[in-house]
Amino acid sequence: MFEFLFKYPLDQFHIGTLELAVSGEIFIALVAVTAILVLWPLGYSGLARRLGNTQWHRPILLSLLRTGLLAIVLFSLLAPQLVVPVERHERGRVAILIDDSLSMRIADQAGSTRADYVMNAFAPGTGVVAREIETHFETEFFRFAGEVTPIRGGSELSFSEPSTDLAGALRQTFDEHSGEPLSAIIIVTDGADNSSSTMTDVLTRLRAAGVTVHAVGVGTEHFGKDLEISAVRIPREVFTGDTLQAEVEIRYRGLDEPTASLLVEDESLIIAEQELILPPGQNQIKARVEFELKEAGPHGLVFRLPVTEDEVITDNNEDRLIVNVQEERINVLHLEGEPRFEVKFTRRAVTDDENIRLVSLVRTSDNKLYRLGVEEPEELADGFPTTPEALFPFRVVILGSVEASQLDTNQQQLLIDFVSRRGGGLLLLGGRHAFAEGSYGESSLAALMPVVLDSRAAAFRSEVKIEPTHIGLRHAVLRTLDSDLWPRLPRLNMVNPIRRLKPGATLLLDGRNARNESLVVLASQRYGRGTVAAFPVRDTWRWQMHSRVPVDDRTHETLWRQLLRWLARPAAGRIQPHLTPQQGIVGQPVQIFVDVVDPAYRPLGGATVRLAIDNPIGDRTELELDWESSLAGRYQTQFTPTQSGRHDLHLSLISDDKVAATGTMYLHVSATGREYHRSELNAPLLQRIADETRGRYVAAIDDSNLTEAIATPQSGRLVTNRLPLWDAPAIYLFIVALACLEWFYRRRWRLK
Amino acid sequence: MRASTVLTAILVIACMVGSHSVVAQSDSARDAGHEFYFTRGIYGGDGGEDWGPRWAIDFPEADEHFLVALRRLTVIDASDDHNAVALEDPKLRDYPFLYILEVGSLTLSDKQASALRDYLLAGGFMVVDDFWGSWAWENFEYQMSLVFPDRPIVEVPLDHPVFHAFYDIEEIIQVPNVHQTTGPTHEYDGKVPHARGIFDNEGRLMVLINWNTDLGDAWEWADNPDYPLRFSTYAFEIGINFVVYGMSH
Repeated sequence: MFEFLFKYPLDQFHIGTLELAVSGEIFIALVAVTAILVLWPLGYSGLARRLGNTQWHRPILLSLLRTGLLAIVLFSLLAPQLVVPVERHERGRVAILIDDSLSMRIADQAGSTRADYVMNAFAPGTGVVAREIETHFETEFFRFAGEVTPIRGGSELSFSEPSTDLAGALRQTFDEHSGEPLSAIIIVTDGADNSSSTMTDVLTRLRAAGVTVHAVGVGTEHFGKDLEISAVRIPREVFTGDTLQAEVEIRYRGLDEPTASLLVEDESLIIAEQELILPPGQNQIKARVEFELKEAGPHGLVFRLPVTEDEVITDNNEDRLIVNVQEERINVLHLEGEPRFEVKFTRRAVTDDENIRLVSLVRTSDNKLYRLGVEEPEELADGFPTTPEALFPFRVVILGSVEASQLDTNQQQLLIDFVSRRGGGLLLLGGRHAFAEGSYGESSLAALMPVVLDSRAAAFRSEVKIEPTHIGLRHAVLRTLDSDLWPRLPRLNMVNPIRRLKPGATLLLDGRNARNESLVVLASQRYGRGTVAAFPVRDTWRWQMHSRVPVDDRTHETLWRQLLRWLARPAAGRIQPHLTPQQGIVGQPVQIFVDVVDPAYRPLGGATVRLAIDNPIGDRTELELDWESSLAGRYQTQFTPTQSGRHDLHLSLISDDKVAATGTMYLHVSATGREYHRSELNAPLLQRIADETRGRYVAAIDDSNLTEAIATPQSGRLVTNRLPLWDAPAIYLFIVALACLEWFYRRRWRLK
Repeated sequence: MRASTVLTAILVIACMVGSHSVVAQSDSARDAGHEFYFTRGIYGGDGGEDWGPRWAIDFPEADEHFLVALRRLTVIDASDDHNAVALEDPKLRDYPFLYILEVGSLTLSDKQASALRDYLLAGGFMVVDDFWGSWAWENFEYQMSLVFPDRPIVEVPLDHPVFHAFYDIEEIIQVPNVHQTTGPTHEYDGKVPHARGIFDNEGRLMVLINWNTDLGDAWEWADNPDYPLRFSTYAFEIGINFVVYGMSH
């Protein structure tokens, strides 16, 4: 009887919950019902008056009957449904992803290659483990490297792809199966990911969707004997005359000799060599090697380690990259509010550097400005620039002992734009009119500074002994200076008591005065695209002039030269390209993003940006970049290299049918990518993938556990049934019953 | 004892006391923490019986008067104390601007010559003043050959930045001593004033030599109504140029 009235058995109502399907209209419906409930009795007020006080209950009863009837109709219209969880038993679907990359050819899997293992165990149709899995699950096979592709047999596996993107493979598999949910993904790989994809996002999505990932790790976690250059960090754009320091990360296993010789070659010419000590108790070190690239233009550098006998992999003993040496002159503008010896000695310090042009503006009296280093009679004749066009050709601005009030509001904002938008470097020197003593604390320029300005100091002066911090010793500004030098350098004078850094600033030089008080001597921070450094000492010239400093000592020159070059380096031109990835692989697309700015370095949208790519065999590809209107000055395109070697990318900004700006960058493309770098089994990564998706990680040597591990999980899946109730007979019976009852009372009481 | 002898003795004693107090003051002057110190070089040599040590001629009034003008006409943070330092004193390297005069009597020891060479090569700037005639020149030229055996002394042209750093100097004027402001302004055979220099390898002026002229006297007697204004004005102008140039090149 219950099932006849309510369509479903009673136990369904016990385990289920009642919901309304038309949730969006609930509010409107409730309002309507409320309105009716309130207004309905009012319709009977006339009737109540006619009947008098003795029959007051009749209209109330009639109104309740009518209201109940309408409420049931409304309830039915809101599509009530019973939501019931149901376990549905069905055969689970499993996707098996097989790593088809080059690193799978490494022969470290119980005497054979990783690929051999995969073919024996997981090849579709023939693999021992694969067949076992197929008996339990509906199985699909895919190969992956950069992209995921379905396969039907082992012959479709080549193990020759030059990249591995685990996160990308999982993401693509998940997305392509969103309509037909998977029970699990089994990924068979060495885990030697060399993509820039992030794993966290895809793991979160998999976990949320209840897709389990089981990982089968192939290969060994530690090679028997290997010497590898696993990473090289070096600026890709430098100026002629820059001293480059490359940080080379070296991993090693089981070597007979605890030493190795690191070579740096430039077009087959050895330009640097460094003997390395490889402590037996470790398995990786970082080496720093310095050299100079004298010729302007692109340099194809090779970092090379010797091949030792019985090495598992020899392809990872070298790394190649391209460094572009710009011949562009570094224009530096130095503003001083008074003649100071610092002007003279700064100019002396960079005299030998042909790449640096230092223009000095020195206020010599209240109404006189002395210009030094200008090339044209009219250059900066009106003083500090007031327009972007005049200021932005400079790469570095030095503010010496000059009050903030010497720069008007426009010039201060221009300086902020110079750093944040143009990417220029700003250097703030100490002096009686600098920092808080120059009222910078009350100016908009205070925001740029890497230091906290306290209130103006009254006649502060302190002689400080200066030492580099731990970071400072390795910093580009100081690293070429002999570390034994610092205790011998004369003390310098400070008239600006600066003791605190802003969060995010880096302290490079620390000063101690006679009271052993710590003072900031050199600190820097990024600000927008540029860099700001505070150097609040007054007389670095003492490191050149002091009687304890030999006349031929180059400390002062080196310091200033490196400081200005370092501050100039981040500044980019009007076309600022970025490549993803930075190193190309034959057959793999390279994304090219270009940020374009106008002459005032504001993002420039809607422009025409063209790209010409010259490949190593002289073929040229021409592309026009697409404007990403969502990002004001961002343009993008992609291309897929077909040749290995250096590719020259020439960018041009077209405005009014003329080339308004150009830029060139270089891309090294290899056939094998970085498949042989960091190619040991990455078990921790695979363990993480499994853990975060509630799966299992199994090493290939232990794959007998795999089917057991994945067979237990939910071969039956929990789904929810939504059972409609709007058409239940009970609802119609209620409606009819209430209507009849009202009709009955009306007849009995002889009412219309 | 004749009165002139007594006066001379008093002057010598005064100058000696003055020089000692000056050397002592150099420490305190440094401690005051100014950017610029008008530093006078102390050297040994012949002469001095009549006017005190040759290095201290016009001292300290010339220095003090010049500093008054320098502070008033420019925004240089200059100490108003005079500051004399011996050429061989390591402290000299704390003061990149050096004024030296009466170099006709200059006699440099090896140590002084070496110290002066290092001072100039490290970046110091030396202004030479108040020596007249060929005999003084020959002595100075010889003494500088001890400092720089292979650097020539050359004429500094009027379009050189040192003559335009603050004021535009259009001609080199012979500035006479206070006793020769009327009639011939020269001393001995030094009839034509010269501005000569010694340059470093980068072409920077290290030594500026004012020969056959006496800027120091013009500074010293600038407050004397009898001393012609045009000479003292010129002396202040070119002196300020030397300082601004010395602090910027």
